[in-house]
Amino acid sequence: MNDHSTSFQLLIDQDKGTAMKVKVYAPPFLNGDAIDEMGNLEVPTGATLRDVYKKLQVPLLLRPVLLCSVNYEKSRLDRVLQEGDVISFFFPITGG
Amino acid sequence: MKGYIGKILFVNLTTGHIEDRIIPDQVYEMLLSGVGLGAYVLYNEIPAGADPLGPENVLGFTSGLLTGTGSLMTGRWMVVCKSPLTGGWGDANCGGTLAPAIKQCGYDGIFFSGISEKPVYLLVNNKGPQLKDASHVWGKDATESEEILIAENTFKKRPAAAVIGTAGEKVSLIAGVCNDGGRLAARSGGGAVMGSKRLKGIVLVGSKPIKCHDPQAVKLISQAYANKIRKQNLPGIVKGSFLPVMGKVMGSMKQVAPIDGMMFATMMKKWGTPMSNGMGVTNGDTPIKNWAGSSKDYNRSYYSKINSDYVIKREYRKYHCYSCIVGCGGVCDISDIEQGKFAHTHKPEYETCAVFGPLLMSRNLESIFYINELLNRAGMDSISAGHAIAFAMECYEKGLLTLEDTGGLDLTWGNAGAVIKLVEMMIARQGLGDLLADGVKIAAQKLGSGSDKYAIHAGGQEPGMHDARFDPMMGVHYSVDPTPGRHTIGAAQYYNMTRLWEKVSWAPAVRMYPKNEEYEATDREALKSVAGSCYKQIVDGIGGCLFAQIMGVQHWQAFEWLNAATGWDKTPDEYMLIGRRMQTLRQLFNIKHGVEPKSFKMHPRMAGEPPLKEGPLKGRQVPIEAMMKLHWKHFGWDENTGAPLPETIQQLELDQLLQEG
Repeated sequence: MNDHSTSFQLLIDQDKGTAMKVKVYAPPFLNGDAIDEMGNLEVPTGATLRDVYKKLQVPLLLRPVLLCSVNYEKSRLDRVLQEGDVISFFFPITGG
Repeated sequence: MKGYIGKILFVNLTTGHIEDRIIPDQVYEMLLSGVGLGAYVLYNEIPAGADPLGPENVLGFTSGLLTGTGSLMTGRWMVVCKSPLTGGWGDANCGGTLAPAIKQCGYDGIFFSGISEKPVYLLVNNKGPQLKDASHVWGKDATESEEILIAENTFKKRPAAAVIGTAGEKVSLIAGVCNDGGRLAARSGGGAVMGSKRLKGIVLVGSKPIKCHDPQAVKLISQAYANKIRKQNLPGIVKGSFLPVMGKVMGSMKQVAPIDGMMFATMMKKWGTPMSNGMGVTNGDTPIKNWAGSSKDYNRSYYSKINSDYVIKREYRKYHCYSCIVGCGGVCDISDIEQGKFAHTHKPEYETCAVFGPLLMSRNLESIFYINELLNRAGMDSISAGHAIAFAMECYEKGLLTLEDTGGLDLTWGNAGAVIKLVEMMIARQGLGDLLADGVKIAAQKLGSGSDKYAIHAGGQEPGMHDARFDPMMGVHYSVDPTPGRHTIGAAQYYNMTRLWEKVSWAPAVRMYPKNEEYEATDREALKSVAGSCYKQIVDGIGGCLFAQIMGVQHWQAFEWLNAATGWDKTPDEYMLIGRRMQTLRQLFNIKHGVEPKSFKMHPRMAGEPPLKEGPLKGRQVPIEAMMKLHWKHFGWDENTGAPLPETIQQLELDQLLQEG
């Protein structure tokens, strides 16, 4: 599925009014406004990881180097998400 | 079959009397095991005002309630005592293999009172508990002593052992207790208490089963957790040199967001705690030059020399504690350092790297490996030892110590050769080393001349290597915990990753917020620090690992494991009440022994007084007194004195557990 077809599908889903929630752990330099207190992000049914990137406004330059997993597994940007999927971005902390 | 045994062993070293004591179920339901069990025994056994190095002090080794039940990352054992460093509650914990061995011997804890006439060790095997002569290992380092005692007592099964090194024997107040070839329960001066009792070690050979209520349910939770951890691996292209760059980004962020704690596992698996070596410098987390410097002083030409990759370059074997699936430890080859005096050492933790690197302005990583092994064998706390040397260096710089005082050592910042010699002098208690071997507070008292300005501590305990000006909540815990100066209790970073709000009704939820909020004394911040504190007690009651804790309650499911192991069916809120009770009991121990909680307020420099003039923490100040008051208030303690209020004691039903006196 390419960008164009994803967007087309999203439009159809948005028309239908179907939406789902995925859990997103986003680093502070991304747009976290859409994420609620429990870490959930609402996306249209059938959304892909690329759509989440768009919603979080991940800068294009960062996309190739940003480490991101879906349900703790490496994932391609065209992965179609399911309700309740967990999307985690790598961001370091110090500790020890 | 509730995960715990229901029994402790009590040994009077003065009389040689050894007895089993039954612990009522009510104690476990109210305080769990581990530190909670220790607090119950010590509060009731140690009379007010007892000398921490005298016969009335009680030293305990406890296991966690979940240890051995099939749960994961719950294999830490705890040393508990009245601390000679703070005069109040003392505890320290450590991984390795001792925790399950305590339970396999049929006990949740082993406690010692009195003082032995001659050096002894406790052996518990199929013949029962017995005190044995330890003269032949007295004077030997911890690693060698442990090897000898284990070899002497290995028949069918290899024992587990915990011992003191020469630092504990010489009653250095910064001595810890060792196991597994140089891993330390380092803090609170437990090794000094053990040395004062002439107890060289404990050797445990047990094979009793550890039973729990629903092993299958425990296993299912463990499997789900393990499946996630196994998948966490960083791509090979992520190098240690990237970390300081990431640190710079972190340090410049105006916003904070709670990240997925599971990502932490990727870094821990690759580097272990030295992942923070450079990153901590650039983001402001690592204290530099006795807490008076910044990354402008300890710049790239310094931190690049202690790069995390250089640490693991020497690692030839990974090391896992009991029930751990992360394996942040390692064994490193150091046979080419200092004429090959030692073949290997445990991978130095971040704390050791930071305290003997940036805190002393040293960039000599080889010296850090060597000092790590010296201290591990001596059984001396590296955090405290490094702070003591930083104190001496600053006194030397300011003219309070001269070449004559130092025995000819040039204690200029960064002089790694002098640092090695001074560590050896501290271990041997020679010259200036003798002054420093009891920690910075006592060293400053003895040196006088206003040197207390350079003695960085909270209530007598040298702080962990995490800067309160970077994470003010860390400073709150440094100052309010009954064991002050501890970096393992709580911090905003820990709170954000632990995500208690997903399961605990009153824990404030966190999403993205301005970093500046962390520097304000507010009820919301105080509630967060209280929640972190309560949860940490639970973790220390079950034998949990801090690194598992901060992966988050959605992954490391302590509440669910507890219910499965005990059959109690408690809610997370009810467990948090237990945590509050445990912490209040530890605070009551201090009140009983005349410790004023206010006196634990961290050194002004740690709160940004005076503020740093450059670096990522430039101008940062922490309103620590106001934060302490709010923390106490939300704990149900007197906001002015820190003493638990009568109504709180009643609400927590602590009067049911405590004996007068």
